Amino acid sequence: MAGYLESIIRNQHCKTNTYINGLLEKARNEYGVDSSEFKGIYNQYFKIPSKKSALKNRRYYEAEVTGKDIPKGLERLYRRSVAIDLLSACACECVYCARGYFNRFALSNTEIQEVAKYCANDKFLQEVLITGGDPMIAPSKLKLLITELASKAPNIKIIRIGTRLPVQDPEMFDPSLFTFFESMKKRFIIEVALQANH
Amino acid sequence: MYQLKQFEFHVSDISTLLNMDFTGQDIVVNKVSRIGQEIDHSIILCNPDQMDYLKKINTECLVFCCKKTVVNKKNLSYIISPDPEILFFRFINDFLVNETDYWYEGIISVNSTKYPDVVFGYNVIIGKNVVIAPGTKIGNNSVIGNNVVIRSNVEIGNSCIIKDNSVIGSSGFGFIRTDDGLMQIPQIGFIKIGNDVIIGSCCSIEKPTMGHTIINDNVKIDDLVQVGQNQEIGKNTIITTGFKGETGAKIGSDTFIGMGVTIISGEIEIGNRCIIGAGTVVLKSVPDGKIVYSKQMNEIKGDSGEKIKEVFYNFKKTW
Repeated sequence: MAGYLESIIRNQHCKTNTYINGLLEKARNEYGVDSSEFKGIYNQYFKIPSKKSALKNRRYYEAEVTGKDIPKGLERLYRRSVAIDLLSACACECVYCARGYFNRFALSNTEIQEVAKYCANDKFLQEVLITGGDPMIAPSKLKLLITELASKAPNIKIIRIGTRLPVQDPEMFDPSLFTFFESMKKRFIIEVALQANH
Repeated sequence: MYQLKQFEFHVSDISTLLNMDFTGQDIVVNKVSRIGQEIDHSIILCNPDQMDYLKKINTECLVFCCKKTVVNKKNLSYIISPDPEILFFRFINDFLVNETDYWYEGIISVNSTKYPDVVFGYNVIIGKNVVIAPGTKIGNNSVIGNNVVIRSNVEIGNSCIIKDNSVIGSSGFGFIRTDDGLMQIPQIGFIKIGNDVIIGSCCSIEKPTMGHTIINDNVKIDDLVQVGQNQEIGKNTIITTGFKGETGAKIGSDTFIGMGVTIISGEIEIGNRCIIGAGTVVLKSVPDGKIVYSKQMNEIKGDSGEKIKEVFYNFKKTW
């Protein structure tokens, strides 16, 4: 087992930022330790999983199609759509996140260009899901990927982005990203899935 | 032009974004500071000669440094690299800087009603008061500053930055003496600018009579530079302020041109990997890998007080 989950079990220390710490403090002061408001935040970010259950509940699986021809960071399960793991970093690290099982990575600029090239060569592809990690945490990489897809892959029509950033760390959410998405609205249908708790 | 945006990163996230390992605790950082003035939870760049400062730090910080510089302290986390400076600046550039400032007119993708017949790429950022001629091509992710004028027959690549008040494609300065006086030579050529090029403020890139003025990929040009007709500048070349070149002069790749260099003839070629010192007047071609500089600090004999009057007098005479 590699990745984040191993490190929190080993160090008995969870990764949280000041915003989440503040939320926990607020819930503790306003509702008390036994309240569901407090437990909701505590169980998501602060509860350290036991080693046994963490090892048992490995429900993830590798996509079979990650073969020779598919570039790094790309996962192909369906004919019409593809998932791109841009990077493994996220604004917040939930203790049960499946990402914790994997090694850390981030696509380099040349790898992003390769991903765009792959998408352009497949006629059946129409839809791209950009995920990670949280792609919004690195706007420069996200902008590069989307502009590359826009100019090189005319077959791609829908872009879906999964993010937690506006909920987990609202101040980090960059307003210039909004103007960027606005400028791309004629080219793509952009769907942003805001994941508050999952 | 740029400002730091608000951020809060774990050290492990930074190491992920840069594809580098880190040592020490996985602390949270939210500022960038200069060494010697470090604040709690900040990112610091440390050069080998600044090691003493590291020993004094008592707060939690992330340090970018090379292997020799590491000091074993619990409060410090490290990202170790042989080129910490490059890594540090790359991280700030890519992830911490807000490229769109308040003065920008907006982002343009593909086409705009304000600039009809201009072929834009995606995510092109345009400043205020910009004039762009029809038929111009501008690539993805390029930034065009305020008051920039782009005239006809210009092609700009991806991820270029053109700073305020520059003129791209003004017609070249060429005249022929005829019986009637001076006749303008028609300037109907093209300008081609590659990818990742930076052109400073108040520069002029001139359109040639025929053929192309070419600026290749990754060339960085400082403020107040004039790139003349039919010149070709090779990849990764740096041109600092005040450069002027005669029509048709060629500069190779990976070359450094110092301040105020002048090339006096169009037949001159400067090779690859050259360094041309500040103020040099280039009289003949320079082969690859040479360092060239002008004779400087010519001393005039005699007392300066007397000479200043003399120089002033001579200056007036010539004027």
